[in-house]
Amino acid sequence: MSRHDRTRGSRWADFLDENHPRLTAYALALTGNMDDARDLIQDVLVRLVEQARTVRDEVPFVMRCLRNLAIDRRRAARTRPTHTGVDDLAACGAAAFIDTNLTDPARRASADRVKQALECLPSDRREVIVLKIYANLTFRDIATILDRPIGTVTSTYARGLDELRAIYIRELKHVC
Amino acid sequence: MSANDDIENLLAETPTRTMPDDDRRRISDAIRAADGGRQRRRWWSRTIPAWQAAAACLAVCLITWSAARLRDGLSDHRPPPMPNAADKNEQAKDLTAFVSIDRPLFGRRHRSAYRTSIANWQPINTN
Repeated sequence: MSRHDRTRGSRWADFLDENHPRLTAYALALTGNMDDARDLIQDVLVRLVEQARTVRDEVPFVMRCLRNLAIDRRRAARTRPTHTGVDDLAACGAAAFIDTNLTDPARRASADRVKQALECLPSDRREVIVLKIYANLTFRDIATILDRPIGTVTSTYARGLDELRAIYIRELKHVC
Repeated sequence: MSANDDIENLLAETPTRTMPDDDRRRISDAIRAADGGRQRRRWWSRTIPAWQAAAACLAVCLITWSAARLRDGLSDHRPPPMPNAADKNEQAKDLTAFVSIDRPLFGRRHRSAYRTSIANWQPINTN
């Protein structure tokens, strides 16, 4: 599919069909609820169509747009303007993308524990984990999205996993 | 196998919420509507059928040809040679005039000029 074709709305609709699980996971991590996540995705894709943007790497580009728009909205929602970064996304984002409405009790309990562990993580580490595991992106793409050096991203990811394992084991012991 | 593989696998196996189909359809409709609006606004970027392009080229050629023909027709209005004026022609064959026509054409000033002999010209008797 050529870059020019991506300027057409039908192609962006196809892009949504192909990538909606990862877009939804990241948008939910950014907004914390499905309604806002849906609005965020729609606004980004509609703007891209209206501006007839030609994009080389669509997924990282759209993810970055989602992130920037989410930060802009949280800034606008504040009564007084202050610097808002990814830390402010932590309060609302958490781990709403984890599905805990499962019929199997064992799987539901496991999903609950993962969700709680993710919510305990610092937001920057959680964001890298979401982008790596649930958006299935490379460290290079994540570095582009977050505008950080790739080394910082990989070390953040490793520290996040270490911390997540410790929290998960602690929760497991607490339950048992 | 690294120490983080177990937790990575656990995360990867944990199901995530998906967007409801209705929501996805609504977003797709919004994208297509936005694309329609963009194409209506930017009519010049739309692709046009070949017959329309050919008709436009033909119209431009016809207008250009008509304008050129009109301009050339104006420059042909030279006075006919006077009878019994052969001697005068010989004497005054160097008498030439530079005629310049300055007239508007399609909203622009169009200048046409030519050199003509006035050896055969005679004063017009207005009496």
